[in-house]
Amino acid sequence: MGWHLYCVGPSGLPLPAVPGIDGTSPELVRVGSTVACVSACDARPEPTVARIRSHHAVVRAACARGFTPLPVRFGQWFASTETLAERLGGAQDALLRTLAAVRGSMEFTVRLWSTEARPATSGAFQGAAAGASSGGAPAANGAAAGAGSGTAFMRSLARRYGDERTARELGLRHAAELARSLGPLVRSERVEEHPPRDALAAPDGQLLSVAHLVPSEHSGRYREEARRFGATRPSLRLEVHGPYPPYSFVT
Amino acid sequence: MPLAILLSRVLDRGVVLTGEVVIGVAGIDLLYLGLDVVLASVESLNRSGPRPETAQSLARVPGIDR
Repeated sequence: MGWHLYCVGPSGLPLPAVPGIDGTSPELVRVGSTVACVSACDARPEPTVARIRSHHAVVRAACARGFTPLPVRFGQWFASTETLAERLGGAQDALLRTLAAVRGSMEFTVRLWSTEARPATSGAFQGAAAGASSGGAPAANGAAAGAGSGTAFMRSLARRYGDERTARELGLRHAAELARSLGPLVRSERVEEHPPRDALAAPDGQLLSVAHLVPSEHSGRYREEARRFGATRPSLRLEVHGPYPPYSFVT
Repeated sequence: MPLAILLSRVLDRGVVLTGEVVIGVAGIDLLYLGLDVVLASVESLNRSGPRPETAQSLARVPGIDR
């Protein structure tokens, strides 16, 4: 029998009391000093939104009783209990180190937008976004369509990359200020920049996202402080999402 | 949790123990395009109603109600 893996926790992890993917019942399999939360599954499940929601629900339920397991990326399937034990057994040191790093904490995501008008580059940028949304090749086609000549095309690209640099620097500056403002409420941070040269990046002015690892007992205060930070900066729109299992802090 | 954030977490983050990982839904190359942004766009289109040329690609995303 094969197993779909949801999360890996410390020994003592309680069984999540929610259905797993396709209505299966989650089970716990002990491997060394860790426990794997799994569902019986004959073949690797294809990703669908329903299955992904179920996967997340099991991981979240495992977090709900004072434990912080390591969330596992969707698609980790093992053909047998022996294979599962072999993979988890071989990674025990790393798993236990990571479990210690996230113990008692959850993840919050802060998304930052600039409310200031974008610089005047956006011909290339908007053209790119439009090209992408209609299924075309985003950057080059969109820019070229509006430019009309090679020189204009290169200038529009240069402006666009200048915009990306400015947005990146602005986003990083805000993220650093936010981290300073939150201080000891945050155990760890992962800045999630949009991929460079991504034609779809930040068409609405989003600068970047930041994932914060926050001790569970500070969740309420963290949310208040983060929102207060946004409220005192008129040029910034800020959204706080969470708490989530610490997906961003286990890879 | 917004769908875009959920999918970016569950498909693109988390412990990987086997060599095979999911990097896309319905043929969308999520790693290349930036998962958050693509799926946020899918969500927006979903809310406002897709244009004719996007209806076909949305129909290929399993589980997204339209």
